[in-house]
Amino acid sequence: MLVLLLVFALIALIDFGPLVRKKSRRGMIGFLTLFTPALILAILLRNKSEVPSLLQAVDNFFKALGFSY
Amino acid sequence: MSMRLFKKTAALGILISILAGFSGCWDSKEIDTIQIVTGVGLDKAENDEYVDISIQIAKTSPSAPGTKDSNGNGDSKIILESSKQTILEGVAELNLNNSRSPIFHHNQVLLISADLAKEGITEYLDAFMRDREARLEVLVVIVDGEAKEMLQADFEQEKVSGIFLRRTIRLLSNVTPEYSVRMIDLASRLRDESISPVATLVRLEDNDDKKNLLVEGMAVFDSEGKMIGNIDADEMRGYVWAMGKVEQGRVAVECEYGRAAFQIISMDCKRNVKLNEKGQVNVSFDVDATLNIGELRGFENLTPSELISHLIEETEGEIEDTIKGTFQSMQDLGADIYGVGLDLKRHHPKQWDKLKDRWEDYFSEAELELDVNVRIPGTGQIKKSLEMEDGENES
Amino acid sequence: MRVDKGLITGNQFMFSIICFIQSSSLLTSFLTSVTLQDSWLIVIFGAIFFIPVIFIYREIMLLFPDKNLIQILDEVYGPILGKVFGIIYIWFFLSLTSLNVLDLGDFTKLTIMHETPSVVLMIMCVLVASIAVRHGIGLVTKYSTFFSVTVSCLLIISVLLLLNQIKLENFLPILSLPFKKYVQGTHLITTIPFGELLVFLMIHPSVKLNRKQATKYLFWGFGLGTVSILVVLCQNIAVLGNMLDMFALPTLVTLRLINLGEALSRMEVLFSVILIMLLFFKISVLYYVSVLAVSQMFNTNQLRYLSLAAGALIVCYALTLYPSPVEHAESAKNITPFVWTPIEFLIPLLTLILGKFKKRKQLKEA
Repeated sequence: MLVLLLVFALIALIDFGPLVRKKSRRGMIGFLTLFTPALILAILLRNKSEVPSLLQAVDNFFKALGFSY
Repeated sequence: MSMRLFKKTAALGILISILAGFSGCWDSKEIDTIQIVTGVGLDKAENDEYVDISIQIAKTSPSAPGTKDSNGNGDSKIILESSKQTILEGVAELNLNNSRSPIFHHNQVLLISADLAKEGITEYLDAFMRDREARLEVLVVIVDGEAKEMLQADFEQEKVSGIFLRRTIRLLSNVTPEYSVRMIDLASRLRDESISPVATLVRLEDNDDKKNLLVEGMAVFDSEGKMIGNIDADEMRGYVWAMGKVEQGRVAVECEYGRAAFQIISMDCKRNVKLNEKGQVNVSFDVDATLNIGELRGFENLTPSELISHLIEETEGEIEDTIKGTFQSMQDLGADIYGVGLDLKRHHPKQWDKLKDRWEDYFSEAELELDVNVRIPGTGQIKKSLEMEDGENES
Repeated sequence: MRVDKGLITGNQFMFSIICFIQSSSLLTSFLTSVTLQDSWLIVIFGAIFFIPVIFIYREIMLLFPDKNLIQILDEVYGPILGKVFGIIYIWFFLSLTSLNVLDLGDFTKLTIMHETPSVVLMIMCVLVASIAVRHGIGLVTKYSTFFSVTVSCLLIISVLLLLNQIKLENFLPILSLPFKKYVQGTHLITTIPFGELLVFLMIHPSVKLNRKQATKYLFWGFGLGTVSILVVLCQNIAVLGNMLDMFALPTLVTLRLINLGEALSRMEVLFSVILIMLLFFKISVLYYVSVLAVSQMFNTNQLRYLSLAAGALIVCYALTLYPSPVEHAESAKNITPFVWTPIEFLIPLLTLILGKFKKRKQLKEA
């Protein structure tokens, strides 16, 4: 767990820092949209909790519509 | 610390960790912690539920200097045994009581005793095929006797019998590739419902102190992997000749004029399978053989041209008889080892669909049409036998 | 505005396409389990059916030579719907990347590194790929020529080494499977792997192509890649026969069977080398495209600073995709073609039609 948080902190340091420095608001928002789900997913996975799969949800949706072999 | 320096250190750190990660340290196996398996044997255990597993290990280093057993030379192999319900458990037990773990990458042969084979080999093949270390070209050999004994035997040519077996069979495969049955060939035949799997059958011969390997023939299985019979060395030729692509071998004939032995240069067989009007299966084998005269005895009253045509007649008859004999035995057994059904499936899939459920019956009642053509281009270094007439020059 | 100002040559473009398609030739088990010995026919059918789709992509590329897909969607569908479609495509790119990363992890673990947790393998790959992505499209596609030529040579060598085990009867019986299988097979091959060429609609602004060149590079790339798949498939069918659908990685098995004397055997390490090379390339491209799409969406050119976060997301997402390879294969066979069809085919077609319409209107007003 500690290693995981360390890694994410490192990513933030390497990439978010320059974005702040350049005052690129859009860049920061883009970064956070990628960073936050990644962090949440990583913590959930580390805790071995059941993360529902987005792709499987889409698959089931199509299956329900009858689109499947 | 300045940003640039920090970046450089971070980059270096990342590179080093990538190097470390990519070297596969999780998977490293030091050579002194492994044992190399060269042969696996499966025998029937006393307990019906269990199977006896023997593993032959080739030693990677000779025994420590100074220690020798009574023979005066260090043993180059060891046999491990275990008896369990499944192969997985058996190997796990061997792993447990050992200082080294066996690796199966270099396994040469899988020996199965005939008794065990009669009960079915499919489940064992499954275990071996699933294992990711398994090699699909492992030769599967059926032992008329105990597989364990075969693994323990000390042959003169090779110290490790697993390697000896593999090399012997590879030599045989120079005659025709049908002789060396790999696990994948066996599995492929088992998978198909019509063709009967075969495997080389061997026996250990004990002559006083010396052990000999005898290739007895081939074991025949039914579509469920149970051994139902065997063909001996002569019938084996009938099978192999009908399969074609033979590049070595002997044919011997005896007739009223004398005896002759021939070397097979090549023998090919074209097959044609169809259904006749009565719904019966009609199999035609077209055999084209090229022979060289190896040995002649007798034939005193023949001229060379008469000789050749006579020999051709005799050999064609001999080949025909051999092939017919084996085919008949297989029909009696209900075992289509030739792949007649497979031919039918490939060329006439719709007709095959009607027959496939009762293929054994259809095969037993199949009609065989055999056409053998022999050519004898050469007569060896001498033109006539020593006893032949000093007749006119051959045409 | 152009997010990535890098430029690549037409040849790099073409070889990238070849590499992309070649990587699918190693992972054909989802196709062979459906159509068995007729799979080679399916490749040919699929290629024929896909040609109109390439034309669609080409037209889009020529209609909007300086805009990548996200920008095109914005322009054709307006700001709101364009963004909605954009999000769908971002999800598509991220999913593709994660699926391939998952494949790399699983199959490398299966073939050479059994004990290493596949997470480690995935992180390693993404980490190296991120270095390429940070530096833009030029670096990402730089090695395309090297990879595809090397792989092609290795594949030719493997075919030659297997000549003695090829049995042509294994291709029979031909065309004896139920019709539905052929439909399914063709659908499968057009959506995975051919349809994934869609991602090149994000890259074409980096290549300056006129009509003739676009046609040339697209079709040559597609053609050579397809030939690669065909060769590998035929080799697998001829050597394995009825065992074809038993294995998760049929090409690995055929390479294992190479046996010319004692020296030339155990070549399966070749498979792993080829697999890692090609999959890595494909992942780099898909990774780049995903990050590009995100940064285009937010209209920022700070692409290089988004790459690591995207990488983390890709790895984490990959771990959630499917609980096991079995479900993965099941889905890929039965449902994924339907999910990908609107994304790879229907929406681009619609975009092309609307796009042409709009351009004509613009010309009229001018």
